[in-house]
This record gives sequence, C-alpha cells and structure tokens, in this order.
Amino acid sequence: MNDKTILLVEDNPDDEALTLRALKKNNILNEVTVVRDGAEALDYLFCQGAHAGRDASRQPAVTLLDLKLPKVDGLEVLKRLRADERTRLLPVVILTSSKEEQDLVNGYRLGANSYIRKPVDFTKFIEAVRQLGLYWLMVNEPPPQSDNR
Amino acid sequence: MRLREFFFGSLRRQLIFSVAAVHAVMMSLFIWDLTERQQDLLLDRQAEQAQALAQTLATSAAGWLAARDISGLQELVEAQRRYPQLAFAMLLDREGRVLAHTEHARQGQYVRDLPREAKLTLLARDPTLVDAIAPAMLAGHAVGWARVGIGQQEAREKLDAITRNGVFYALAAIVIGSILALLMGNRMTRKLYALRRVSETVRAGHQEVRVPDLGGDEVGQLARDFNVMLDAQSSSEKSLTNIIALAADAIISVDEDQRILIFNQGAERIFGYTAAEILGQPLDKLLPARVAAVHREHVRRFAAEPDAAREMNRRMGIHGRRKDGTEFPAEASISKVKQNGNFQFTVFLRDISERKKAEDALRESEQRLRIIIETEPECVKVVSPRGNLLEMNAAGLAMLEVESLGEAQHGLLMDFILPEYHDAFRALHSRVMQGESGTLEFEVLGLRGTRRWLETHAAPMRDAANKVVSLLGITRDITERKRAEEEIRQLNVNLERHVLERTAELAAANQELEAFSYSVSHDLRAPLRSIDGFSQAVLEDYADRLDDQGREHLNRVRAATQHMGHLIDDLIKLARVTRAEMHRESVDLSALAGDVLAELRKREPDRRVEHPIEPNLVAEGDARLLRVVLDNLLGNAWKFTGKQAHARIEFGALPQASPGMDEVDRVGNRRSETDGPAYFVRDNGAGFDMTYAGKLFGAFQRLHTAHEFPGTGVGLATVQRIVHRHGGRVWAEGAVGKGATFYFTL
Repeated sequence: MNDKTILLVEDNPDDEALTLRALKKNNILNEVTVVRDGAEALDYLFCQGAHAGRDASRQPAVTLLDLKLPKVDGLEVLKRLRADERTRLLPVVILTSSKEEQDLVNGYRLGANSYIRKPVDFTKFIEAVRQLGLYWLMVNEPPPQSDNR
Repeated sequence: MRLREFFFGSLRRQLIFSVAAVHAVMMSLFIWDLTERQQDLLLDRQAEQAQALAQTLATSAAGWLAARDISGLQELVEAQRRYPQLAFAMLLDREGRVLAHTEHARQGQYVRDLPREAKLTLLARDPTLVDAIAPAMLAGHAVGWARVGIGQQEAREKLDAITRNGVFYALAAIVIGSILALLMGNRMTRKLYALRRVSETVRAGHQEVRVPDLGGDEVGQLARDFNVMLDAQSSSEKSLTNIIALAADAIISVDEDQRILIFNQGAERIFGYTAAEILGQPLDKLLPARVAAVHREHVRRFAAEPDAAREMNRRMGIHGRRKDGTEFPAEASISKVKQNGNFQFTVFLRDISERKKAEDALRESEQRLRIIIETEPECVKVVSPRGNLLEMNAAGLAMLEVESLGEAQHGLLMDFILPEYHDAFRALHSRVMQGESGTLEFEVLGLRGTRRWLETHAAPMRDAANKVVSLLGITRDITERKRAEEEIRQLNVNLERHVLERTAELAAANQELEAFSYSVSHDLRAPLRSIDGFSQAVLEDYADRLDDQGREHLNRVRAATQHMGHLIDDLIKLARVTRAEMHRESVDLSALAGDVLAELRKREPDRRVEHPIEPNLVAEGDARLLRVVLDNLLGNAWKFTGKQAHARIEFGALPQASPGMDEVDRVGNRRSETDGPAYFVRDNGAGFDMTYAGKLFGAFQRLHTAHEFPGTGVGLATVQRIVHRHGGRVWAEGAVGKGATFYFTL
C-alpha cells in the first residue's frame, strides 16, 4: 500500500487484537503503532518520554483514539493534541464503544475528524474499519507536516 | 260745633267763606270811610255857607243896627227865610240883645255865648246844626252881631243816601267776591277731589285704578307721585300675594273665631281642599278630631301672649288631617296680627311625613347597622384625630379584655398596644387622617394580660364636606393565624432543608446513574464485542476443524451477543429518555409520522403497506422525544404487520372528549376534555391478547417470542416514559390476529 502509519490508542487487548484483525482482514498492511493509555499516546505523538527519540517528522496518517483510557482519557488527549501547534492538524478518529451524545459532541467540539462507534457485530466492525482505512489512508491527503519548518 | 263743621268741614268751604269774609270787611271799611268823608265835606260846605250868610247879613245890617231900626232889621231877618235850610237868623246888638229874629218871640232875649272878639266865629258845627256869628262893623266899630243857623236836614238825607249806596255796593261786592271764590275754590279743589276719589276706590279694593293726568301744577305733581306710590304698593302686594299663594308650605290665616281667611296653594296641596271649599270654614276641619279642642285652647292662649309669633308645639308633634281623613305629621309656626281690633292668626305649616319616613328609615338602618356592628365578630372602632377611642363594638372590647367602652376609653388606645408597634401605629393613624387607607399587624396586651396578634384595616371617615373626621378601624384577631403561619414557616424551613438534602441525594443518585449508564454503554459492550469478534475469528480461522454443530453453536453465541448489544442500546435509550431535557414546541405529528414510515419503507422496499396519515396533527411537545414515540409505535406496527398480505398502518387522532362528559373506553381509561386529543397508531397486524395489556408497557416485557417477532421489549416502555413526561397517557387496544391500536395523549 503505502508507508502511511496508523496509531492505535487502545487499552483493551481484545479490542486491540480485533482491530488489528479487522485491518488485516481488509488488507490494510500499513504500519500500526499501538499505545495502551492516553499518556503514552501523548508521549508518542509529542516524541517525549519513552518515545523521545522518535522521528518527529513521521507522524501517523491517522490516529484511532479510544475514549475510555487509563491515566489520560481520550478526550483529554484530543484536547492536548489540538492545543499544540505540532499536532493541531493531525487526523484523529475517535473509535469507541460509547454512543453517549455528550461524548460525540465533545469529541467533535475538540476537533475530532471522525467518530466511529465500535459495533458489537464483528462483521459490521470489519466493514467500518475497511471504510476507515480506505478513506484515511488512501483517499485523504494528510496535512503538511507541521514540523517541517 | 256744627257751625264750625259747616265752616271748616271742607277745604272748599273754608276757601269760599274766607274769601267772602275778607270781601265783606274790606267793603264795609271802604264804604264807612267814604260816608264819613262825604259827611265832613258836607258839614264844611254848610259851615262855609252859614259863615258867608252871617257875614252878608252882618254887612247888610250894619247901618240898620247903628240906626236901631228894628223893623228894618226884622225885614232883613225875614228876608233870610229864602234859604230853605235856614234854621234861624238873628241880629244882635253889641251886648247880645236879640233885636230881630226869625222867631219873633225871641226879640228882646239875650244871647250868652257871644264870642269875645268881634270876628266871624263858628259857634256850632254838628250834623244837626251849623251856627255862625259875624260882627256887623261900621267904621271899624262893631255895632252888633248877625247870627245864622243852618239846619242839616238835606245833608243828612244826602248822607243817608250815600250810606245806603255804600251798603248796597258792599253787599254787591261780597256777593260777587263769594261767587268768584266759589268758582276758584271749585276749580282748585276739583283735582283734589279727583285724587281723593281715586284713593277711596283703591281703598275699596280696586288696586288697578289710577289718577288721570291733572296738569302740571302742584296737584298734578301730587297725583303723579300718588300713582307711582300706588304702583309700587300694588306690585309689592302682588308679589307678596304670589309668594303666599305659591309657597310650598301651607299658609293658613284664621280670624278670632278660627274661621279660615287665607288658604294658599301650598295648603291646597297638603290638605286636599281647594281654597273655595275651605274659606270661612272652621280650622277644626284641618285637624284630627282628638286634638281640635286642645288646639283651639292653644290658639286662645297664644292670643293673650306677648309674643307675636312662635313655633307650634314641637314636643308633642303636630298632626294635620287631609280632606280624605288621613293624618300626617307636620311642623308649624303661628303668628298673630291685630287688625281693626281683632286678631288674625296665620299658621305656616309643612308636611313632614316624607321627612319623618326618611328619618324613621334612617333610624331603622342605623339600628340595623348597630346590631350588625355589635354582633360582628371583628372589632369595629372609631378613633378621633387625636387618637382617642370614640366607639368600639363588643368584639373589640373583648379583644382588649375590658367590660365597657368607658373602661376602654379610660386611657389611650395606645396603652393596649405593645411599645414596639407604637411608631407604625402612629404612622398609620396619620396616614389615614390624610385620607389614605392602610393595614397593620400588631400585638396588644389585654387588660387581663392576654397577648394577641391583631390585624387592623384602617380607613378615613369623612363628613359631608369630605373632610376626614375620624378613623374607622376593622380589626381581627389573627393570633391563631400567626401561630399557624409560624408553624408553616417552621415546616417550610424543615421542608426546605429536606428538599435540599433530597435534591443533593438525588443529584448524587443521578450522577451515579449517569456514570452507571455510561459504563454500561461503554464497558458492557466491550466484552460482547470480544465474544462476537473472537467467535467470528474462530469461525474463520478454524473453519476446517469445526463440524456443523460447532459452527452452529458459535453462530448462536454471536446472535446472543448481538441481541445483548441491542438490549444494552435500548436500555441506554430508555435511560436517556428519562434524563433528557424537554424542549416544548409545536410539532407536526403528521409530518413526523410520514418521515418515520418513509424510513421504514426504505429499509424494506419490497413490503407493500397501506399507511394513511391524518394530516395537520400538530401538538405541543419535544420534537426529538416525540420522534422516538412514533419510531417505536410505527416501527412496532411495521414489524407486527410483517406477515400480513395486505398490511395497513394508520396514524390519526380521536376528537377531543366532549365537555363535561368523561368517556370511558374499552380498557377502562377515562378521557376528559382536559386531556386534549388522543393520537393513535392502528395496524391490522398480529395484535395481542387484552389479558396481557397491562404488561405491554413494562420494560423487557414481550408478548411475542423473538422467533415470531424480534425485539427487546424496551420500545413501549420508552414510549410510555416519554408520554408521561409530556403529562399524557398511553394505552392500547387489540385482539390476537385482529391488529392493535396504540393511543396516546400529550
């Protein structure tokens, strides 16, 4: 496919496995980085802490963000990303089990690019991931890297 | 006396007689004077004549005397007889011896009255005789005397004639003068008589007669003045008469015998008699029989009193009697005038029956008012501008715990009021005195020591000139109310605290519920996804190692998982419906139903469903929640008609229940007009057994198996919850195989 990477922020190993499976089922073979809580997600994206040495120019083409996360929750992560110049334009797709309206509203208000609810029916989940991958990895032109300056 | 009256009885006679008398006196004096003068003149002439005769005789006889020729002398004397009036003639010697005399007998006699000197002398001169003597001179010596007497016969005749004439002329003058006086007097007094006649006529009652024009002299002037006077008197009399006649009060005059002389229109009105009927009748006719005698006595006594007028017996009250015999109360005064030595009494009388009636009514209403006030359970009091208690009813006295008004008036009203309310009470008092009304709550301490809460409404009382003269206070004992209020206040404080506590609890519970449903929605689904996802993974990755039975089991796992997912979703929805905020607005239910059906049709385009919708059904409510209601009801209808060859889904509304008439439907639901229209969704689907109608709206309650019709049993519970939140009701009718109708009001 291409060298675009995906960042998956997911604390539930089952969901992680199923998400990876769904990606694979849809032949999305791009590199997927998995972080397991909000704090790690921020470290990764801001190239700090455990990920201090990471190449900052290689940001993921899309970040799949769960909302319910240990340490720093998903909405907080999103808020910090949008507050920072480097990650302000980073495509973030909220991928969650919550269908609460307030989560939806807050997610979009904080600058989420999409909001996808994980269906219980795995077949439907595969379909959702397929469309997600197709759109964000193939169709969508990512914003220019902000730290190219 | 009679003579005097004859002369001075009338102005005319006085005038005539005085003029005649003046004439008579004047003429008499004149004639007398004239006669006297004539007589004098005559005597003088006789005297002269006598002297001349004597002189002539003396001269003639001188020679004869000297010669003493007696016979010659006699001849001489005799010759004198030719004078008719000669009384005598004589010749005397120096010594006075008569030598010759017309009477021979006298010869030789002596004359004694010889004058001393020898000169012509008049010895007598009176109306009978003029006697003259002249000396006979010869050569300057007296030789004798000649004496002649002439009689006055002729002169007297002349004088008599003169006197006669004078008397005649005097009488003539008197007659002529009297006639003239008569004429003049008549002329002068005629006008006076005319004036007098008029005055007599007027006095006789002919007020309209006036004196004709009598010329410009004093009488004419007098006549004009008299006329003016008459006019003035007549008009003042006329207006006086009118005043009397038209007075509203009765004016009745009676003579000493109490016979009616004057009876004006007021009296006619009041008594019902006409003046013509009653004039000359006794006054008794106008009085009730029982008082007539007393009244007569009163009038008689009044005649003897010195007062000219007085009120009639006010103490006992006066009554009159009308022509028809009815009596009426009156008010009267009486006056007396003495005319021609007789008293005339005049009664001024007013019918006061109307006033009396009004007074009685007033007294009665006062009495009524007093009873009302006295029996009034609230305190009614009247306070003077200075704050003194003027009036207070029994209820008020009881509040102050005093026995009588006097006891309450002993001190100031303020003394009963607790000091902390004095300022407010004074302020209210002065405000009322300025014409405002006001209310005040305050506490009093009764004389026996009971403390009471009172509420007073004070209003100004005004006199006829609209001036505030006192304060009217209506006061009620609000001690009980105050106690109740205090209780309520305490209860409210407690209640508020309770509410705050409960609200806090509720908020906490809500928050918990929120967290719970969030966690349900998020956390309960995650394992389901794992179950489903890994079951699918097994089915895919280990398909070759599973037999049909194994695959079937896994499929069942997946189906159950997904059903559980739906249940969770519906539960969340139900919870959300309960919590969501309501936004009431006008919602077009018809349009909403159309949208829902359109979506259902799109989902299953192959199904043929007839779905009539009553247009323009607009209700007040939350659009989003009502959409959920119709989603569920129409979705159900769609679902349960799935096996029907000719499916029919209807949306409409029952008309409002008729006013005042509650309608009871088959399920026993009572509809009243206040409910508004009942909307319904009717289908000809599977229907249900009415025995289980009560279970329809319970959460997770289902009347069909999932095999027959899939579902979670949460939809109708959600509908019920939404309808209840709108203040409406929901119910259903149906029969197995005959379809179902779901009603709801909002």
